[in-house]
Amino acid sequence: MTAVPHPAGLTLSEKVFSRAAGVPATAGAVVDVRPDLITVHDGYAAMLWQQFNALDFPSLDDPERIFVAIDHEVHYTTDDTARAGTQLRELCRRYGISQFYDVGRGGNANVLPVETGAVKAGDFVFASDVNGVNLGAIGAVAVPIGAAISAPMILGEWWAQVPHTIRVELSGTPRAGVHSRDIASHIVTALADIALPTGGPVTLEFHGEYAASLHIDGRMTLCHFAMHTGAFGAVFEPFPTHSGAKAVASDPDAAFWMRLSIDTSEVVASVKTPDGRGVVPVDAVGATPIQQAVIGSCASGFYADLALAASVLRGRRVHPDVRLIVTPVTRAVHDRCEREGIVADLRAAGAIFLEAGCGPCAGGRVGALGPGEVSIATVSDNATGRFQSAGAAIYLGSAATVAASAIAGAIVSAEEER
Amino acid sequence: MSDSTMDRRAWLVGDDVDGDTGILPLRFTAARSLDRAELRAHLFSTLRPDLSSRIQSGDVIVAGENFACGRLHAQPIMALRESGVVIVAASVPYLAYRRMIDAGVHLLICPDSTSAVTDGERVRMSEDGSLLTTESGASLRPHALPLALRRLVDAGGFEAALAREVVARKGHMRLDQSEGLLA
Repeated sequence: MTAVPHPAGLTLSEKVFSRAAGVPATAGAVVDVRPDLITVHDGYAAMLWQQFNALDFPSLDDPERIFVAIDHEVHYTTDDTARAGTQLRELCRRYGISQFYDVGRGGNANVLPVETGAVKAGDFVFASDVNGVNLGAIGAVAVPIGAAISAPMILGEWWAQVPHTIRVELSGTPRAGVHSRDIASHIVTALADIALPTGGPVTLEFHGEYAASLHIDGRMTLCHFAMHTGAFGAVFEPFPTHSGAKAVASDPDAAFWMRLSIDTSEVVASVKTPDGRGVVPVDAVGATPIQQAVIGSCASGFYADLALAASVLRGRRVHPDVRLIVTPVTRAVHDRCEREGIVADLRAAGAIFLEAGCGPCAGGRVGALGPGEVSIATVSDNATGRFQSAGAAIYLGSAATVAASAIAGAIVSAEEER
Repeated sequence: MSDSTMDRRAWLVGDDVDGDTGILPLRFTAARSLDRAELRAHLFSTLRPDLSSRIQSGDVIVAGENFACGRLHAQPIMALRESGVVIVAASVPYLAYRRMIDAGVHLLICPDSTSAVTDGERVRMSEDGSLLTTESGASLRPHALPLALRRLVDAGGFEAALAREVVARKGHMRLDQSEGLLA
């Protein structure tokens, strides 16, 4: 008798896709997927309003699977943004979307579903936002689809292509003063020169000693930055405490497209520069003077980041030339920081707080820079014009580096500042 | 094959053409403009100010590596869709690829595309997009789009697909109601 060949194992993402598609789906396949959750934020309100009114559609496939949060425009500063908020509320009422988190009630749509329990390990999610991939932190697979989010909202399913998986082994323990944000930037740099497969999406899957040590906040930061590697997203295996965690994990013989090892003990605290040099050690920017410091966003605006900033700023003062703006990523993060005295410590140092959400990262309508000003921020991106002024410059770093720079009035690491 | 079938022109736009500068100036995205004619008129205007007035629907934009990189917002995609061009790019970041396909932009991936084509020359494209032939005799063989995605693009993208689906479902509803009345 000949042995029956054992079918190759599946990756975590292939398992999630196969279940949600109802057919076996391996890397590269295009399948129709029924999502467990669809996340939408208010940046798409005007576009959805236009689409839904033009279509005159009586109902959505399953409003219970839809999750809407206002996070981009939390403080209305123009007629247009106020109108978009009104339109989004009306759409949620009209179509019976009960998982709707209005201004001041929830926070960032890329994070909030974990807090509320709307998303579970092994879920398949369609997200309007490119950073919806944060949900990979608990072992969900989120695929960002932008304006086409109305298609699965109405039809209940939409196409998706199963990604190839790069298995990233994160070994070692980072040095003192090196944080998840620095590790994430290092991963982006490490992957920059690797040719990715063409003709299909790529996801990262994090493993190893460092990955196992991370809490939910650090996991989200790492997932967030996958999009800067050429992958569309990233996943972790579910936390070991999650019931059924084993079912949502790659098989030992899964067909990974590539395996990569990164020793986190070699990583140094870094900043991403706005001048094309990319990610460099903090001291390489030579104490550049700053006028603004920003802690927030779904990249690094979590409890861990605010606590880290407070540990640097406690009992200190923000430099007289600097405005420090803090935006907790969700209401619950703000509340926890309030209870633990973190808000008081940061305010005593001179910080101002914005209501939970995206903060200045969502186009900079709040926290804009003046012409020629320099900011250091924990936000997602430092593309020209992100904080409004085209003549301004944004450096990116960890909450520790941002806090230390706020004290010094210039870009320095927390180690140098001390 | 007669030259009369060479009814498209090819336009070169190079490597790393990003959504927020190269495809369309950022100011239209920042203003959240939904004016398709205005967006169309400024397509590639930073890179080549004269190009948008020369492009005809059906023309081929030959791009190098990493076309539509950066954060690809809705407005540059709308400008491409409105223009009716076919994009032949050496590579495209995945999320940009996905968003252009969803929007109904004709997009083909073809490594080494830019070296085979001269700017402004005439080209012929086979009906399924699997073969492009240039005036100067060069051939490009783009990767085939998965069938489901080709159908989506041919249908005009997700908005057109949704509009048709809504009409179909309303038809069903009317049928159900009339059956109910008859019973």
